[in-house]
Amino acid sequence: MILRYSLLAGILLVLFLLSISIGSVLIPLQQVVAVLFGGEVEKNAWEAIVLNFRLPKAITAVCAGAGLAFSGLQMQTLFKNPLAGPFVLGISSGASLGVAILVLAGSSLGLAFASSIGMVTAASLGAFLVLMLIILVSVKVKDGMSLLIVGIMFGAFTSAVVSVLQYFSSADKIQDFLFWTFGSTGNLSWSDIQLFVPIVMLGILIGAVQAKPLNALLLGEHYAESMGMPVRLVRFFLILSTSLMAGVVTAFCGPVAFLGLAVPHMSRILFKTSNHFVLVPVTLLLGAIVLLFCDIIAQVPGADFVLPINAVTSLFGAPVVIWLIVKRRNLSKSFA
Amino acid sequence: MPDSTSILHTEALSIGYKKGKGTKPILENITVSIPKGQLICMLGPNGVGKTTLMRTLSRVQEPLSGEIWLDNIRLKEYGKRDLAMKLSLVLTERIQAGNLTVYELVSLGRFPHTDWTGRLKGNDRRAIASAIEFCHIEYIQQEFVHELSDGQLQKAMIARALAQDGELLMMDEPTAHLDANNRYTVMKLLKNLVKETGKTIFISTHNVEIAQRVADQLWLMNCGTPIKAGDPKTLYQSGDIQQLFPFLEEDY
Repeated sequence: MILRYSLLAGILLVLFLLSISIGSVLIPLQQVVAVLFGGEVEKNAWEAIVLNFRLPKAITAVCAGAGLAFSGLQMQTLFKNPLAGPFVLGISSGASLGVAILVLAGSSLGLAFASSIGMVTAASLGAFLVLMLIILVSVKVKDGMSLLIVGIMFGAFTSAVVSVLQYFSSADKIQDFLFWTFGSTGNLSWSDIQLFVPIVMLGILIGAVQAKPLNALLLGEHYAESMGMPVRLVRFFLILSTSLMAGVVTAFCGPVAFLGLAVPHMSRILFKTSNHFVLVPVTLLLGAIVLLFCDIIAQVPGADFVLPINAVTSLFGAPVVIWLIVKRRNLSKSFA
Repeated sequence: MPDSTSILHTEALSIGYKKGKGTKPILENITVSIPKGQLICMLGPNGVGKTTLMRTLSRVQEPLSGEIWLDNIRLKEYGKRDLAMKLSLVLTERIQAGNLTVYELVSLGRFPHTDWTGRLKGNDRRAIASAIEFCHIEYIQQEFVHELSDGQLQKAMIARALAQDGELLMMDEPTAHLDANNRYTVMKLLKNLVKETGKTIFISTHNVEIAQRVADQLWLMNCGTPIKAGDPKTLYQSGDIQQLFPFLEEDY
């Protein structure tokens, strides 16, 4: 087990260094290391590129990947549904709506245009609102399938509102919004990072201390209650943690699809466990690894353009998940 | 009034559902006791209110009126954790824990006893080991839950409830979904548990033949009549069992 953890940590470290070394400008590896550890650097531009662009980007990818994957894990366990994830339940759609209102309708409402604080607030509010609605509905309907359909309805509803907003917006604003939906890990300055990382960390912390209740929830809410778990409180903390992470990641990086749904399954299949004391760290590490990896691919090493991260995660991630499922033949066995 | 020989006692209890502003009572004026250290089997046709009664006695749902005492303290006065340490449940719903091992499943029973890190201490490990031993599932403790047969899974769920270490175990139809042999094995297991651990086990079941043989006390429930509680022999001699289950008397 420790061997597997260190293997994952090792992969993460290698990918992190790789991500900082690769980009449209070729910088020799020893020069990258020199920048990071304060050695002699040949060109000032290299130092600026590594410190002000590549390092924040890599840190963003690590935190966003970990946060989204962990959100997905929490929602899948809470709703007892393998199809759950921040995106499926409409949390990201809620965040999109928040950002759309800010970016598209912002000036007409007299708000300052899309400052990063404004984006984060709008996206988090949107995410939290949808999650609260989901929870309200979950109290009423109780079964997972109905809840999932309601989540999809929320998604449809919010995208309809976004469409209406787009219809009445100018082309440049629509383009701004469209670029946000493509997703990117490269938009964060160091001052953004100072906001982004602590919020993700807070979400991870709130979620991680729920590992024991998450295990109890594997047996369903009734069993969890019978073991003395305060179900409502735990549910609230899981939702708080998820909306913090999914909200802030969506705000800064756009609605990154697929990762939150797939990485928890990859963790369960690779580590053959449902125990959250194992799954939580593994999902965090694996989420960071997957997003860093996709980010490196999105860079298209050697080329001077960047692919939208949102497309890359699904392009390269979906086949991996299909392969894993086919190899293990049955996903629901490892889940249900 | 509650006394020291019973683990659970009800006084003029009404159970049922709240429907809008009114109520829909299912059973009213129930005054019964569950004596300590016995196996009690609740028998009755579908829809008579067995599950509702069990849900009410285990505080899953509120009573419409009346009082319930658990170990001489009012049920509603227990904290969640204190209640979990007194009373463990085995429910009929399916669990979604495919990639948990049987050992991990049983150790979930220690939930109210461990701190937030879930770390198992010496007494937790001892409780888990003895629960596994009592239920005779040592040979599958490292297997995954999705690999188990229904009978093995039910024994694992009973072991989990046992590890929770409440004095009173309540089980809703523990022999549903099981074949004839497994029904017998599980009921015999419960009988032995009562004998060897001194715990009280209260179950609902449709297995009248086996229940008659293993139970210390039967509760017979029928629509519109009060619960008849007594030992199987007396209830058979008085004809109450045959009245509730006429097929027992018939020749084929």
